[in-house]
Amino acid sequence: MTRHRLLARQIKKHLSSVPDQSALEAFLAAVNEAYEQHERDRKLLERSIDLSSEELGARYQESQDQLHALRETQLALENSYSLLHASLNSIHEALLVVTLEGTIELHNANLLDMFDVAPGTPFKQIQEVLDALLPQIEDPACLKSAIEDALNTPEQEQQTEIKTISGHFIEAYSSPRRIEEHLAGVVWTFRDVTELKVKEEEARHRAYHDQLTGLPNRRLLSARLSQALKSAREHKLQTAVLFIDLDGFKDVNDSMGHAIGDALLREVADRLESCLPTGTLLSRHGGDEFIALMEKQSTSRQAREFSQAILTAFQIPFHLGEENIYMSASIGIALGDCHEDSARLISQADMAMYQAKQKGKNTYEFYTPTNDSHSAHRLRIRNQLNIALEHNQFELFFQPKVCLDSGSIRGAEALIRWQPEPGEFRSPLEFIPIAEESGQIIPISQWVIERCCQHLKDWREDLDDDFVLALNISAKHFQRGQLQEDMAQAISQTGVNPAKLELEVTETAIMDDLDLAVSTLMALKKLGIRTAIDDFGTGHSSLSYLRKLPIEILKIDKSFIDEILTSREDRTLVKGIIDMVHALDIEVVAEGVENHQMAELLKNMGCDLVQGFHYCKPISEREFVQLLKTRQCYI
Amino acid sequence: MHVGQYIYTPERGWETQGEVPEQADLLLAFGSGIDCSGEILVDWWQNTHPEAQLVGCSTAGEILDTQVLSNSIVVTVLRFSHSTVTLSNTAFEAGEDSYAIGQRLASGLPKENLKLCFVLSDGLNVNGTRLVDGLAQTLPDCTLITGGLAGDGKRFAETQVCVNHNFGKRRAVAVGFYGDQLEIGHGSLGGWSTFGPKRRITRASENVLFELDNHSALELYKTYLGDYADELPSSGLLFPLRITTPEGKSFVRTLLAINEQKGSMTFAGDVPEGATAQLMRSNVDSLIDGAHGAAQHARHTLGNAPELAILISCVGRRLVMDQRVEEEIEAVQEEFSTHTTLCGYYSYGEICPLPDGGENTLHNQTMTITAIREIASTHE
Repeated sequence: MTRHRLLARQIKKHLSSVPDQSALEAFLAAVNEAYEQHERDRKLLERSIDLSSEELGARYQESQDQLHALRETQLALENSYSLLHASLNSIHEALLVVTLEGTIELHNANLLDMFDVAPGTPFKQIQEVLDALLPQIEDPACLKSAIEDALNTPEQEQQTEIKTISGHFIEAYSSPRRIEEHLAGVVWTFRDVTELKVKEEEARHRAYHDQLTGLPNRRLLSARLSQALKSAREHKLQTAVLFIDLDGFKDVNDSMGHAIGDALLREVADRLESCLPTGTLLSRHGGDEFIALMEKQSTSRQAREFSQAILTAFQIPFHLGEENIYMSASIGIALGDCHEDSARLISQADMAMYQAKQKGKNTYEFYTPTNDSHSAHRLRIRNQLNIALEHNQFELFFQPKVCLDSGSIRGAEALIRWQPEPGEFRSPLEFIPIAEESGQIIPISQWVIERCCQHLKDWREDLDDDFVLALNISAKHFQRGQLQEDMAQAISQTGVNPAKLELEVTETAIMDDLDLAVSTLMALKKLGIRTAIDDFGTGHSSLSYLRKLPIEILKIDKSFIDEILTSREDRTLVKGIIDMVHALDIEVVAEGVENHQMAELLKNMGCDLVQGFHYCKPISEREFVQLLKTRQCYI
Repeated sequence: MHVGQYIYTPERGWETQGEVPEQADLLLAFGSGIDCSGEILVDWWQNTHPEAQLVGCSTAGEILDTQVLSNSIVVTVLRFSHSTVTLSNTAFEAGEDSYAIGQRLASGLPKENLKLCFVLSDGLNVNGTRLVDGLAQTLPDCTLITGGLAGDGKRFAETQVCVNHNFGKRRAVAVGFYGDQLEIGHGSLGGWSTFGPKRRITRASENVLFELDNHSALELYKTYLGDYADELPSSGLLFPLRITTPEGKSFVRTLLAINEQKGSMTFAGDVPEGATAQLMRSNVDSLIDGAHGAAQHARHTLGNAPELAILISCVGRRLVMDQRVEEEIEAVQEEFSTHTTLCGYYSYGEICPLPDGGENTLHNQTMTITAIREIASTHE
């Protein structure tokens, strides 16, 4: 038996004198066992203390780490909370978050502002919110039931519109709040839509009213007239239309400026309204034209009385600032029965007005079929042009411009075509002057610009680099001073390269106001658009002014080319023009080339480009695209 | 009340220990380490006190006076002057719900005048907590329940319970003590102290523990035991667990068995999931102090020194105290009188109410004392 070292030492020290130790064996074994046990206990105890102190140390570190993580989380939470708080209070909407039991979890400051509730203790229950908000609502029951509905069926999104007693319109949306899949409550957002409502109302009003006078516009009149005629047909009643045009309004505009002109129009509108019989709708038709619609059982006597009242009212001058302006009106009256349609009735009233003008103005005239004469034809064209613009009855045709050197297509001239009815074509020579006179040329011209840009965009795959599309600009449009804006707008809308556009302007248009012309041409050049002098030779035919103009092209009028083969004089003239123009670094285009000899002659004279029936007549867009795709060459 | 004691050892056969009563009402027998101890005991009972009821169990050490013995059978003979006893015993199947066993035992005892229900049960095939709950729920409120689970030395292999002719494993007996002049005291105390971190029981089922703080509980024990890990489960008794439930109920649990395959540890009573567990340790002196405290409590509840004290102490204490184990018996005797007969055994679990009038429950690692005396008739 191995003895404990201490016991062995003690025996050696104290029992060495005892001769026979065998009697002590059992005792010594017990003592030894006690020593051993003590040793075991001590070791176990030390081990357990070491281990547990290690464990406690590790746990301390773990708890420190957790504490650190907790602090980080807390900071992140505080940050999120402050972000949420700032966001909630910076949005325009009011926000209210409620548990399913009706406890308020959150609301932002806007909730109080929106409903004009004074800030107080924060809301805790939905009932407190209702108590504060309901007195501010025009129809409290509506909001109350909306909130109850949302709490009863929280999974559904709902929308309600409420109006506050201060006149604000507020849209309330409720949507469910979920925590993972669990439905936790309802979120309300309130949005003040008052401004939106006002704008909507304004937009509605603007669509049907003239901005200058606030009167119903052409669209509203048209709708009301159709309605009136329909009702007239059903009840066998009569409708009267009065076409009122101011006499000499253009002079006021020209002499006193547009601002005074506009102010006058407003005054006129007021005065017309002041003598309006009941059941009469007054509209502004455009410019200085007004139309009054007398609905239901209108007789010629009532129309006459109304017209007379207008003429009488106009005897008093209009006070504008310090000016007294005398203004009269010419009135055309058309009476509609069950057979009429609205456009025709207006057209008849317009013709009658024209008659009144013819008779010396400041009077009224009833429409009779006999006064539907030549001037009436012009009026019809005017009316039809309006319809054409509305119903997209115009179309562009294209005549190629050919390079005499290469025979390739270097460009084309866009030419307008009008087909009011199927199979019926109206020549530009017929309707363009009328459109110029009526001012309708502007929207027509704008339409042409837009279409040309759109076509250039559509054809971009098929165009050579030097291809240029030319379009004709009316003198009226050119002189209006807004051409560059119209061009810039069309270019920016379609994104076409401005260098692909060429404007053909007549000499007359330029010479009427040379300074304006130069500045307009400069502006166009700045945009990158080329300009051509069209029909050169028909007007001033002055080459000297060309020097001043920033133009790239000059088109010799067809009338010089027509006789070029037979007239020596014309040949000399054309050759002279070409040489001089080239000296100014301007290209020359000859129009009206109808045969090969003409082409050869012009080529020898140094002419750059030609167009005419010899090459191609004006063709539809579809045909022109084919031509582009086949890379047609005329040599 | 007359009390006497016999001891049987293979070397010396049956011997009396001082005076023994001629007639007996109840024989309390505790034995260990003797082949055919059941047959030897039943044979002796039939020859010596066939008139008495015999109950007993296997142990991890027998207590006779202030001695702690092994490889012996110690029988304590009780002859009452005024009181009576009734037995209720049951065998049970492996895996049977211990609560039902407790209910069955309790239902076999007359409830009237029941002063004490003293229970001995198989110590390995039973969940002591459930057994006591079953008893307590069936017996009248405030019935005192004491006793213990049988032991098997340090082997944890098989425990036996003996009831008259019947002995063997998976058996339990309840002895009902009746009598107006019977007075019972009780006390139970450990003397262990907790150390190290508190751990949450994250995986357990009834009295089987798998994980503490999501780590293997068995591995934790092995780490702490070091070289002694090879001696599991008995070495595990050196580190009982202090369990504290979320409701604040606190008790000590001692290890009965381990399962290496399942990585589980089986304790003598419930180790509820969600409760916290803390390792405990002790030394001889604190255990002796604990035993003395239990005796003080028993004497206090009895109001006097008892005639008989049944000492049921945990096997874990014997492992820690080893040679000095008898010192805790001496500490108990110091508190009582030299006239008090001490008997009892080292167990796998002790049954006694919680201190301060708490509910009856299973304890581990305690010295648990049932103190009995008969007082003179109130008419005399």
